[in-house]
Amino acid sequence: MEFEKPWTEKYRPQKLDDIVGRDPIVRRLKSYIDKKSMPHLLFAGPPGVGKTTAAIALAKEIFGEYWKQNFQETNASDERGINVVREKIKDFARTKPIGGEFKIIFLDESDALTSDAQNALRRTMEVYTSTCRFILSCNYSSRIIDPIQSRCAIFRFGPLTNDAIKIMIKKIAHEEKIDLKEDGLEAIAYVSEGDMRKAINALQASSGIGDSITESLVYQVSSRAKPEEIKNMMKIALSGDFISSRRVLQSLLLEQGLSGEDIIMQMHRETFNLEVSDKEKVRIVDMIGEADFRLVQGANEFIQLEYLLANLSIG
Amino acid sequence: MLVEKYFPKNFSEIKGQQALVKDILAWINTWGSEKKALLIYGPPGSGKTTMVKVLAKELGYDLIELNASDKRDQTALNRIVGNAASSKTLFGYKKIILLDEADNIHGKEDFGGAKALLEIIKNTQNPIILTANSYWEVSQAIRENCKLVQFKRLQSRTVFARLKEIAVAEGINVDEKVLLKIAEQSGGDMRAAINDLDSLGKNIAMGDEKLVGSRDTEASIFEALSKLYTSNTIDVRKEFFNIDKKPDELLLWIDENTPKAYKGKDLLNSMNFISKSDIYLKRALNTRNYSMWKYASDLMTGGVSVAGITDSRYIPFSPPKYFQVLGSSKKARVTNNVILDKIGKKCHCSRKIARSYLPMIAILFLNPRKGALIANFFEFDMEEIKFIDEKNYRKIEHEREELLKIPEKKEKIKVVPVTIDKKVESKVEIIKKEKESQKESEKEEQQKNRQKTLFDF
Repeated sequence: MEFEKPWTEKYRPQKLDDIVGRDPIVRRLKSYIDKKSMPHLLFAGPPGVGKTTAAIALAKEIFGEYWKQNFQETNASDERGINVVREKIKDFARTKPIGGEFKIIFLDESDALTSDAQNALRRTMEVYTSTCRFILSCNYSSRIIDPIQSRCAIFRFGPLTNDAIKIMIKKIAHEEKIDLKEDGLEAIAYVSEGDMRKAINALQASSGIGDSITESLVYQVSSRAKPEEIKNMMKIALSGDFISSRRVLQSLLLEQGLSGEDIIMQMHRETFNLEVSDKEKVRIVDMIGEADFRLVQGANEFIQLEYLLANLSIG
Repeated sequence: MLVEKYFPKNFSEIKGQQALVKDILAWINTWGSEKKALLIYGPPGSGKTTMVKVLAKELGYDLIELNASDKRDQTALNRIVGNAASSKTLFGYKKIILLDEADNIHGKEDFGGAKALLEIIKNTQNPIILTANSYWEVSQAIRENCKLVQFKRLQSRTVFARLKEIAVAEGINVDEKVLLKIAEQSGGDMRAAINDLDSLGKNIAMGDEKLVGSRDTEASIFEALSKLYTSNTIDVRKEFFNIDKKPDELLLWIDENTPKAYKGKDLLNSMNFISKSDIYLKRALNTRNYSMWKYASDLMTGGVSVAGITDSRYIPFSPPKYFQVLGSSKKARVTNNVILDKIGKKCHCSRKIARSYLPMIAILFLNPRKGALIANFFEFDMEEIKFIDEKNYRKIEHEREELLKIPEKKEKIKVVPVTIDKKVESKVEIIKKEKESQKESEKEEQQKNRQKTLFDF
C-alpha cells in the first residue's frame, strides 16, 4: 500500500550524529556506544527537543540489527496505572537480551507517574538491573523522585535554537523539493518555539496548502493549528453569555476528550491575547491559577472550569 | 386493572388521609363563606384525585373534570369550566369542578390559561378543586385565591395494608414480605404499588418485587429544586434529606439547573458555592472522611438558595446533561482515542502529543491524494477519516481505492505475457500470497494492540 509518512517520522534522525543542535548530549551518549554499556538515563526537557529520537538512535547504534528485539517503548501517561507499566516491563525484562549484555526500556513521560508508582518503578529497576537499562524521559526532572534521579545519569534537553530548527527545515524542504522562502523559514522557526516536531508539522501543513512557503502562509497555517475553540469559549464567556460558553466547555471535555489540565493550560496562554485591560488579565490569571490548583487537588473538571467561566462572564 | 377495580367507593376506603377529610368536608359544607377554590397538593399517588371523586359521590355532586390531557387555554377553560362555574344549579344538582394537575397549566400551549383560571375562580358559582404535585408550580395569584390542603406522601405501611387487602380479595399467592417491599419501593405512591402488584400475576415468588417499581424520584427532586430557587433560606437543605441521590450526583443536578433559575450576580454567587461544595466532596473522598459530605450538601442547597432568588413560576428543570453527553459521546471518545493511539504508535508519542498532529493531518486531508497517502500510513479506517474530516472523507476513500488499483494493473500486464511459463506465474502467486499473509499477521497484531489499549481503560 502506497503511503506518505508524516515528515517528523520520515526525517527522524537514525544515527546520533544526524541529530542537530544537541552536540554535547550526543558526545556523552556516543561514549556508551564505544563502551557497549550504559547506566540508567534520565532525559529531561520540553516536547519536541529530541528525547525520543536520541533514545531510539542510541538503541539502534548499540544493538545494530537487533535493536527492535532489545528496545521497548512504553508511554507512562497513556498506559494508565503502574500495574500495566510493570507487567509490560516485567514481560519484556524477563527474556534474555539478543546479541548483547542488556536491553533498553524507554519509558516516555515518566513524570506522569504518581510518586507511589515511581517508588514501585524504582524497585522494578533494581530487580532487573542485570538485564535491563532504563531510559526515562520527562518534561520536568523535579517531578521524578530523588531515589530514581540518583540512579540515573541526567541529560537536560533545552529548547532547540532557531539555527538548529532552520538547518533541519531547510534539509527537509530540499529533499521534498519545496519552494521555501527565507521569510517562510524565519516564520517556521519563530512559531516552533524550539520544538522540532512543531516546526516540521508546520512545514508539512504549509506545503499541503501552498506551493511556495511564505511568511504569511506559515502564520495562516499555524493559526489554524491553534485550537481556536478555547479562545472562542473565553470570548463568549467575556461577552456575558455564560450558558453558551458552558456548552463549548462540555463539548471540549466530553466530546473531544480534552483534559481539564489541557484546557487550563491553553486558557492561560490565551489570556494574554484577549482584548481586555491588563488589570482584567491579572484577575483572569488569578482565577485560572485557583482553578488549576483545585483540579490538582482532584476537584471535578467540569464544575471548576464552569465556575471559572461564570467569573469571566459575570464578575 | 386492579387500580380501577379497587378504587375507593367511600371515605372509609380512602387510606391514610383521614385527617384531611374533615377539613375538606368543612370547606365544602360552608362553601361560599370562604375561598371559592380548593388546592390539594401532594406527591403522585397520594390520593388527591381519589379524594375528590369520593367526595362528589358521597355528597351527591356532579363532577366536571378537566385534566392535563385536555387543552386548557383561555377559550377552552371559559367554555367548559366557565359555563359550569357560573351557572347555578337548576334542578338541585350540585356540581364540583375538578381541575386535575393544575401545575401543568403554563407556557405556550395553555396560552392565557392561568389568567382565565384566576378569573373563573373569582367568579365561580360552584366549588372548584385544583390538584397539583407541587405547590410551587401553581402561580402565586391562584394559590392566594385557594384554600390549601397538603397531602403527605403515604406511609409504606398504609400502602402495604391496602395491598394486603387486595391480595386476599384477589386470591393472589404472595408472601407478606414481598408486599412490604413493593410498598416500600413505591415511595408512598398507592397507584404505583397497586399497578406493580397487578403486573406480577397470581403467583408471586420472593424476589419478584425486584422486577418492578424502580421508578425514578425525579418528581421529588424537581419539587426540592423548585423550593431551593424560590426561597432564600439555608433551611431548604432539609428538603433534600429524603432525596435518594448521592451528593456528587445531586451537585450535578443543582449545577445543571442553577443557570436556568438565576442570572447575574446571583448566578455567580451560586456557582461559587457549587464549586466549593465540589471541593468538599473531593476532600471527603481523599481523606475517606465522609462526614465532610455534610458541608458539601449544605453549600450546594442552602448556599445556593441564599445566593439568589427567582420569582419565575416555571423553571424548565432537567436532569444533568453531563451524564447524557457522557453517554452519547462515548463512541466519539473511543474513536478519538483510537486515532490518537494510531498516531502515537507510529510517531512514538503519547496521546497528548499525538493530538498536535491532528491540525496538520486535517490540512493534508483537504487534498484527497495527500490525505489518502497519510491516512494509509496511519492505517486509519473510513470511520476514523470521517471523524477527522466529515466533508472530504469520501474523496479520500475514493483516492485510497485508486491507489490500490495501480499496483494491480501493473501486475496484470506483467502476468499476461508469461502465462505460458507456469513456474513464473506460480512464483508471482507465491510472492503475492506471502505478502498477503504478512499483511494478515500484521493486521492481527494491530488488532491485538488496539484491543489492549481499549481494554486498559
